[in-house]
Amino acid sequence: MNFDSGSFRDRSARVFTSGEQVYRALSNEAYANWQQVSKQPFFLQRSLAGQIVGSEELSSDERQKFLLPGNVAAVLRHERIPFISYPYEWSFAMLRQAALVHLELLTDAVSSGLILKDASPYNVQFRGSQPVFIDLGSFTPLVPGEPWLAYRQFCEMMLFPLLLQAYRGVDFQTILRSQLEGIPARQFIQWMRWSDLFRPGVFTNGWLQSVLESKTQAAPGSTVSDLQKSGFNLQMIERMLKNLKRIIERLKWVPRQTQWTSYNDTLSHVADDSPAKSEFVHNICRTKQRRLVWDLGCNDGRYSKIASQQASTVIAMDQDHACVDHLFNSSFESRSNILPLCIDLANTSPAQGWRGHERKRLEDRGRPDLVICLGIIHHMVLAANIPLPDVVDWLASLGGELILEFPSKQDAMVRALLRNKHDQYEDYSLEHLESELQKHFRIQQRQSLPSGERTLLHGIPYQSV
Amino acid sequence: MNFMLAYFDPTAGSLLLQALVGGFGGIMVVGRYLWMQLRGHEQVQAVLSQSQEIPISTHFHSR
Repeated sequence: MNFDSGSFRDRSARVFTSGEQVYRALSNEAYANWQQVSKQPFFLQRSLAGQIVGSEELSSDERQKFLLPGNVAAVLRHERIPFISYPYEWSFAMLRQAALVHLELLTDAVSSGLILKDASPYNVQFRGSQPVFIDLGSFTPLVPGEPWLAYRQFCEMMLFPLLLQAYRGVDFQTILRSQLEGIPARQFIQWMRWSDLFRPGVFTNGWLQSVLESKTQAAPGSTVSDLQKSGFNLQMIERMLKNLKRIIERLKWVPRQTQWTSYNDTLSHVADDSPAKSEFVHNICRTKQRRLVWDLGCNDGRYSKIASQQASTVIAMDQDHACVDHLFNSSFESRSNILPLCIDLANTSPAQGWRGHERKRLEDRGRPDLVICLGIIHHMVLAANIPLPDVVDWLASLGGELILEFPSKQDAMVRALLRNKHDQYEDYSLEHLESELQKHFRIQQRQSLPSGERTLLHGIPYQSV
Repeated sequence: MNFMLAYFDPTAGSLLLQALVGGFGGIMVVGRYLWMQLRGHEQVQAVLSQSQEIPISTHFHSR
């Protein structure tokens, strides 16, 4: 039994794992809250719809085997989420969905005499493309007259990043990756122009909050109890939630066209090779059902979609935010099992947070059974300057089978990459790639593509042969 | 506003804001809240002004 290294802030409902199973240890208080929330019609309805993580209470006999500390009143077994992802890997539409899930749950909870004590996007995960609320310990009884204590957290971790992306086109991922607690109001407002103050959500939630934060010093008593005595009531929370929901529902981010958004349609060699690549991927994917597939440099997700037919979950990664957002929107609509993420392969998400354990590195969150790596290796070697053996070594360290596309130095896109560079890449050749691959994989299949300068390879790790 | 304490509590602002965006009733709540703070401040000042100073000798005698 191991307590999850990211679940320590709420002592009353800590998550732990044992084998493949995920559990939550509840204190007396958290258990009483669970008993209350789990009977609510909204909770049952949303759990059935898959919007709240599936949970069941263990019998006392089952609980005994974990040898938990004495203050644990009950243990819940949770449904396992296929792949844990973080807000700094999500696209705009994903963070927007996470924010809406919070507001919808909170609206239901408030009308049932409950409230969410946190508003962290980390409390939402994605089962494929569908958001799931996972932090059941966050539901607590609503104290009459108390404001929503997590409102500030909601703004800093969800509302401000969304407004920043929608109004100013600033990619929030890099900010949320370094500022795990989100964007404070005073920082948010510095990014806004004067004209943005008239756009929904900026003046009250941003500017006014920033002013109040800087002008209001702590009173001798508690602000919460003083507001209670001053007549704060439930309708004020409800009105605020309605306003926040309206702002976020209407929020749109229209990404600029990037070189990647129409990559697969505009380049002739890509179009020529596409059917053969699709067939190659399809033939490998159909051989068996796989649990987890990674598609590196997924672009419009066409190969992720092929893989998703024979896999439980596909993680579709791309550096281009616009591509990931577009793929998420289509996956969300079709309720597919594809989870798109914004990932720079030359700088993947590190282990970070408290003692470097709170948020796990990308590679530590689940071993893929198959890695699809099409049209990406030349970018890693020739643009990011990562030595080819290192790239192969990293791909092998992921532990799964590999489908890899290699464009030769005569390929049009490779020539474009090298046009203004000194060619120091003597190791960039098919022969060298194969010799490196053979250190880790048995090359099962190779196929030249119609454009003539690209080769597909299928490798199987030796340990699984 | 100066509520005497030096420790900055940023959550207080976000809590007040929830009342401010809560319509006319919310503005009344904030008004009452500010009135309470002002009264509390005056009471603290009154207590301080009534307190007696304790004279501290400036001479130290060595034994």
